[in-house]
Amino acid sequence: MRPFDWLVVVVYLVWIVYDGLRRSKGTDKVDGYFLANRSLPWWAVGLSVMATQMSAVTIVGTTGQAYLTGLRFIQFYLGLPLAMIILSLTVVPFFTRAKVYTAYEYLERRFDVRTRSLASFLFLMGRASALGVTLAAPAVVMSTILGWSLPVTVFAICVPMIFYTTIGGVQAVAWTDVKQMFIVVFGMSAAVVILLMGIFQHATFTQALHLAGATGRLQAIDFRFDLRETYTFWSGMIGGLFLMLSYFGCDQSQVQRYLTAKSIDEARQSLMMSAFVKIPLQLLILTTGVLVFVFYLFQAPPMLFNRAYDARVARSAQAPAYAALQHDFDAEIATRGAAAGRSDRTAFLESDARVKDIRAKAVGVVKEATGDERYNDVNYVFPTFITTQMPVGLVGLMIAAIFAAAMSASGGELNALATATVIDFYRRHFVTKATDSHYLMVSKAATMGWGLFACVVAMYAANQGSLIEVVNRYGSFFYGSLLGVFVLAIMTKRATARGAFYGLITGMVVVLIVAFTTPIAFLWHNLIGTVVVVVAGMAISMFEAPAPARSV
Amino acid sequence: MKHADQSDMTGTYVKVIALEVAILAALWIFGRMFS
Repeated sequence: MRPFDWLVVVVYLVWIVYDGLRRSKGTDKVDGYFLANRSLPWWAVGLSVMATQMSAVTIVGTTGQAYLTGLRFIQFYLGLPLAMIILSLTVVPFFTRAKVYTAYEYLERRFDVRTRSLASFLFLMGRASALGVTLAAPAVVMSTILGWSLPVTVFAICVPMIFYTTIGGVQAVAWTDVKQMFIVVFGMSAAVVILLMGIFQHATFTQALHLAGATGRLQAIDFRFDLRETYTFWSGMIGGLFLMLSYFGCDQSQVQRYLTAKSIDEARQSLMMSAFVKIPLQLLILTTGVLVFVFYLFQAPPMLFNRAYDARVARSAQAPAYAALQHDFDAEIATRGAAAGRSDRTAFLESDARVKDIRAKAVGVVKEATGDERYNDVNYVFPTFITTQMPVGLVGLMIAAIFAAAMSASGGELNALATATVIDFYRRHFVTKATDSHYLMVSKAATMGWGLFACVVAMYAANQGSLIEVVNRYGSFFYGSLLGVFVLAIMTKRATARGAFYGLITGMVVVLIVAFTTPIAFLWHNLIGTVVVVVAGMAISMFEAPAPARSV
Repeated sequence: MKHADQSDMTGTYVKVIALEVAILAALWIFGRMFS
């Protein structure tokens, strides 16, 4: 990082915080603080919806995954467009007309307070854990680049984010999200241009595609029906559909985005924006990862992208073994590059397999030397490319984009955590009759409290494999069950409060058993959770007298 | 059910589905061409 890059990072971050605060007018009441007085235009809500989902985890983790395995992660999003249509037809008009602050408020109107409290509690636990991971991704990047310790880096990201979210509420979050989306799309597009310019010095576009394709990295769609396989067409279309329905329909961090829209139509249009743009945007990010792979066929990559332990390994008893692997790696990279250059497919694939093997052995040596069994370098691939290959100014912009992505995605989640805490618990159970200014003060305290909690979780989440998967796995433990209880609430008249409550618990228990005792991939947990809650909930309800019709 | 406070978005939904089908087909063909 050169001084000009630092200047870009600092100017961008100061502008983000300043503009977020400047736009936070009307947040002196709870309605303004949590729902922006239901005044935001569809395009701002739409960008905010996408920005809250597309965090720094997406930029750092997804590109790393595409570098290693290719485009197949796109299948994770296949259910999203259909989910957006279903939600646009069902819960969006429902929640907007009900004038609720949280999705879980509706569950009390339909069932009872304990179902609302349990659903909100599940959201708080799951989202708070995921928020820590969302913050950990850029912390990993920056700690590597700057040589800072992880706690220092986490706090460097958290402090400004907590500051503008606490003071500016949902409006600061939404307008920060809008800027983030523009800067991320611009930054990723710039990275693609730089990558292509580098690749074209050694290969044509068609050659590049054949090289990536030969290693299977362009095999985006897998039609095999295998429940153990994480990303297939079926897991994405079915499991992913249920995950997206649950995430965008029952997770307060998303529901709150479209509750800020001016009208039902504007809320629906904001979801349609995601339906149109999300998959192409993810393809852009995944393609960037694949292009990084092709780029490093012609430029020597580091043996391992995560250099955090270089010094420790050099001082350890494994140093000679590591040096020997480095020697083999350098020779093999030259062999692979030559094979790629002359388009010798067989020699290229054989050499690529040996490179993989050497990298795996090097990871083993690092683990042995450091005792860090969770060591991996998935999330370091793209940051390494940014800092070593991109031109001055763009490096700063990309780092700023990663920083801003972490802050805006986390800001939305923080705001939602505070909303659920205050509306579903504090105002509902503890202080039921107080002034608006009292609740506003408590809301700001809750925002700050959750922010500090997330910082602590982030420090422990930094090295848990591919970060994007960690976030999605956390979610899949409870998302399907939450969706199930909303299906009971909205789609059935026969379901009773007791049925919904015990159905939700049954769904959670079954998903946990499935997750820990079977090899079924996590996307399917969403479907299982939903089905179990609906079936169990309806079965329990059948033993009771139907509840009298209520106005919700 | 038709409501006064929301408009018909069927055309938008059809376009969303059509775009996804087109992307899926393109990705599948692309994967076959360069494998």
